[in-house]
Amino acid sequence: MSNQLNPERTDLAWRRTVLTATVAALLGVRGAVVHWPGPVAALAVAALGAAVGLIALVGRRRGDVLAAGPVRILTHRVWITTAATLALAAIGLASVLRP
Amino acid sequence: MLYVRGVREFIRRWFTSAGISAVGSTPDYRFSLANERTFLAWIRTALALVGGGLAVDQFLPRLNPPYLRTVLAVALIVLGGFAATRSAIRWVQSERAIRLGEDLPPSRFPGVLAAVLGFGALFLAVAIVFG
Repeated sequence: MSNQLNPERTDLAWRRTVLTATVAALLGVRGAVVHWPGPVAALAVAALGAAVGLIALVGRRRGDVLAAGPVRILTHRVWITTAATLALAAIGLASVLRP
Repeated sequence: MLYVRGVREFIRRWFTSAGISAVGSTPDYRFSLANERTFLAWIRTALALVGGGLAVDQFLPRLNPPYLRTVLAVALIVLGGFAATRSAIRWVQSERAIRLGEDLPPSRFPGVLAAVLGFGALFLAVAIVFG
């Protein structure tokens, strides 16, 4: 029984990750809009949206793979998710270290 | 130094082989999924650290000394970046160990992170009360 629920638990873990990324990105958006001039803020908001969108897309695709079975290894999605998280961190750092 | 070596090892393994799936034998899928969920839990920790840093910058009142808020925010976000990178490295290390039937490699990072966050929280509490 619990064996069959493993893919579902993994899919839910992806969804939680997307939600966490959304919250972090919203805080980043707030910082960018409040502290940066219009064009720079728009660029930052677009980059934050792209990073969260990337994580959401990877999570969605992974969910499809898990639902379709047989289960395959994660591979390049690890790299993409890490890169998107680092992008969020970099934009956040830039908004904190604003001139 | 260890961290730099880990990143280098991760990049080398990632780009010089046909991928982690070429290593060893295919394990029970439950192990790989458990490893994937652990990776995601670390990514969420990293995202929470980044979000926490942004929240400190935006919502914490001015502290004494004035630069303390920025220092705390930067420290949290940088820690989040480290946690994200480390999560990918750890995933590769664990997946290799699982596929080769070896013990999982030990890691000091959870203990170090807990200690840093504990001291940071204590430091912040003192700064808010006396600052």
